[in-house]
Amino acid sequence: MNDFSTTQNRELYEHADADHSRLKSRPGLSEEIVKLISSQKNEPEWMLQKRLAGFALHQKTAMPTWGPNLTALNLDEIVYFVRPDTQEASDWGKVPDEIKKTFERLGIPQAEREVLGGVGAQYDSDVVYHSLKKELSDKGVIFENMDVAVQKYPELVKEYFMTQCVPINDHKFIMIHAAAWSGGTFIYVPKGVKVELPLQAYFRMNAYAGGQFEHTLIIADEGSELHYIEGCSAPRYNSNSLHAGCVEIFVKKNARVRYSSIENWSKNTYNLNTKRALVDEGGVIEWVNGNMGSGVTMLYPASILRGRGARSDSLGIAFAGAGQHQDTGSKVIHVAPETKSTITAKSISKDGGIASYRGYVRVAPTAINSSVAVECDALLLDPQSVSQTYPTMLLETDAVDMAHEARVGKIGDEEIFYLMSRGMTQEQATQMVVAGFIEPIVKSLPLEYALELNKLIELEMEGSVG
Amino acid sequence: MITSITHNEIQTLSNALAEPAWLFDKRMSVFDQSAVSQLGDQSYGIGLQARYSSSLFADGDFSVSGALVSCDEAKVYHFDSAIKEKKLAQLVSRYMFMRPKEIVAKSFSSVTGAAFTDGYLVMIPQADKEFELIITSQEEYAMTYCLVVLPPSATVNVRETIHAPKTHSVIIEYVVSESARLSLIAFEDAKADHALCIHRTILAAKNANASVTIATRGEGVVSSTTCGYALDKDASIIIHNAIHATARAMFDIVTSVVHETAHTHSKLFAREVLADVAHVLHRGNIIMSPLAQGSDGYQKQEALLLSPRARYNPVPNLDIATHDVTCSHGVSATKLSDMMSFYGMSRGLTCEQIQALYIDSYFDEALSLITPQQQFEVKEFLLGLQTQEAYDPQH
Repeated sequence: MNDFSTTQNRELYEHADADHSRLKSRPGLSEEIVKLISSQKNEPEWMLQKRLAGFALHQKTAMPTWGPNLTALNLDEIVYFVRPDTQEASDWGKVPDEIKKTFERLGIPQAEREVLGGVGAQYDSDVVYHSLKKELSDKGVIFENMDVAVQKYPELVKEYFMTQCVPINDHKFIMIHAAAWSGGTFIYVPKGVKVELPLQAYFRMNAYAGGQFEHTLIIADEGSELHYIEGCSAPRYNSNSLHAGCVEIFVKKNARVRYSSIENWSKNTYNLNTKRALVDEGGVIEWVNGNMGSGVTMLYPASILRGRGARSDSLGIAFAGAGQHQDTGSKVIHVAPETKSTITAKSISKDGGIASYRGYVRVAPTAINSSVAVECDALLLDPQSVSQTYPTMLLETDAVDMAHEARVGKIGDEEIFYLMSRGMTQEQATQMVVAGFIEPIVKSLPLEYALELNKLIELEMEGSVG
Repeated sequence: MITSITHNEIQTLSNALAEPAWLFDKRMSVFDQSAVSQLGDQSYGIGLQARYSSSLFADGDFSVSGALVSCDEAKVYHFDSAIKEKKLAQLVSRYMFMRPKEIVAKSFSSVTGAAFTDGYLVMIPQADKEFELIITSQEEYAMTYCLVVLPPSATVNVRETIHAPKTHSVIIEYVVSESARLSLIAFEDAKADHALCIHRTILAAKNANASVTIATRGEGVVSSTTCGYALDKDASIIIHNAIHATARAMFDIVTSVVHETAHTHSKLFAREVLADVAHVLHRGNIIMSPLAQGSDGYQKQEALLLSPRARYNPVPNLDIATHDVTCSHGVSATKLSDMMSFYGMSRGLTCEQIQALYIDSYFDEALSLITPQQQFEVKEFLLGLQTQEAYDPQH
């Protein structure tokens, strides 16, 4: 991981490598490009047909008009497919120097050695590095590049890939994703296997006006356990980039999955991501999301609790600085009885940034004796910043216990005064209050990532006083 | 027969009513053509659009008298006469649709604002007393507009009642002038197969105070929007909803307060009881503008679900554009606890009696803005004779 004793700066994330791509599609999405992507990956016919169906739907569907303003996003200017000039390796030594240097700067190889059970690293449209600790592969755990999984495990992928969890007609950006997806992660954890160390994937977008459409498919079989972490970043260009990834998680009976991500795309990126989990009887899904970067984010991890006693816990933190609109939240649909969900969302707005919480909780008539608890807190650091809270709830049974609370406010003068009276500067005091504000999120991350999140917040907070 | 409402129909209507150009412009300021096609949808498919279109504009008869407004000793002017008197016309011109956004946002209010056949101006005198504002609709599917103006420093209690045949749509705008106090109790009653569409605007000036209690009951369709605007410093708007939805009721409730300036205050509170297969959609909005420093807002929606088939759909929104504010919201839903039922039954009460007792007390907090006598009246309205019958051992 990074040397956390030194101050980080944005250059770490926003440094751009020279363009050494071996194949780069022309801007815009067309049937020809969709076919090119599929043929480059030597995909089976069913996958090509799925891509083409997604493309046809995309052409018929208008841009969404709710939520953040997407008018500056010109889909015809995005480069949908960029292959780096390298092959996937399982040894960092075989990754081209410049790409390796980028990931080293981000601390990925060091983290792999110290705290991870496996790592995947994607650079633009292709995965450039993938490895899994032997003891996990011996237990039958599959941790693969999604492109490789299509070839190696076609039956499994065909059954779960964009079928019941996130269908290709879900929304405009999923249609684009279905047509242009490339890379990502496939994880299968066999029955009863507990993956003690987290698995991680890091997604790096380097191409100018690039788009990244990685697909993550996780199947946690009965009684298994997994912690999966994603990190993302991109250099800052003077043109917009698009990230429209998709995460599908199947949590089988009594399985438990924790999905953590720290999204730190550059501020000219539109991060329009879709994450969803189907949770069976007794299963637990935990979402931990830190949204720091991106100019515009629309991200609402969703859980469908379809088995008795299933549970979803969602923790989210969004930081909106100058020019940023973080439209985040969480969705839960309770379908089965005795299901439980908690949503904790925190946001910080600064320098005119807009942080929106947009949540949806539905308790179906069949979800008797379920409980829902939603809590969202927003901190506004200056008069120019904006906080919006749009929670929607639909209760279709009386046998439900539901509570929702939200608070918006600024940092109390008394808190700052007290901390300053103990010898802190105003900036230190403000940072300390903000650190306390996001503590519930930070606590649920592994130590190294908690430190990274704290440092990122610190980075964003620089110059917030005076 | 005209089957839709367009710019031309509104122009023809305005001409037929001999309205000045500015009043036609006012109508158009809230008209959204797309609202016409959505009218049926937002009113839960009861097909208001076709009914309104065919009834109001049949055979080009625009002189239909849709509603009468009375208000005790207050001066009530039909727009026929109000627009002919310079001062009254100025008043209407100044305050009518002063904040059009929320009216345009809902299809029924957009169409009503554009195509109402009866407009009234109600001038409340400077008196510390209770007024009964009664809107009586004589025609089915009438659309009515009413502007109620309170003078500065007035302290006024208004009891608002609407008597209508099956379907009625009304926009009522209250102007609470500087340092005036408005205590409003509104009764919204939708019997089975009835549809009631109400849009209320409350414009609160400097140091003005509006306390609004809205009691909504019934088995039919209600689309009720109440939007408060705190226009100047120290304006305060409190809106309490007490809702009892039974049978196949479909209620679309919106309560909003927009803090347009500094040091303004709002509180939205609702207690809602849903029985049978009733469906309540309740959207609450607190909007703090960039100029609303030092303001505070709070909203809470609480529901008691009496049936596993009832549907409760709360949407409590906050939209905050400045940091020096205190704002929070909460939502909770619960059913009648088994423990409470068990205790009541162990004391000899039937399930119905326990439920009636619980509902009766459940509304207490939502009715805290009004006097005990008014509370009794509102509860009687909300519950009908249910409670008394339940208490009666002979029943």
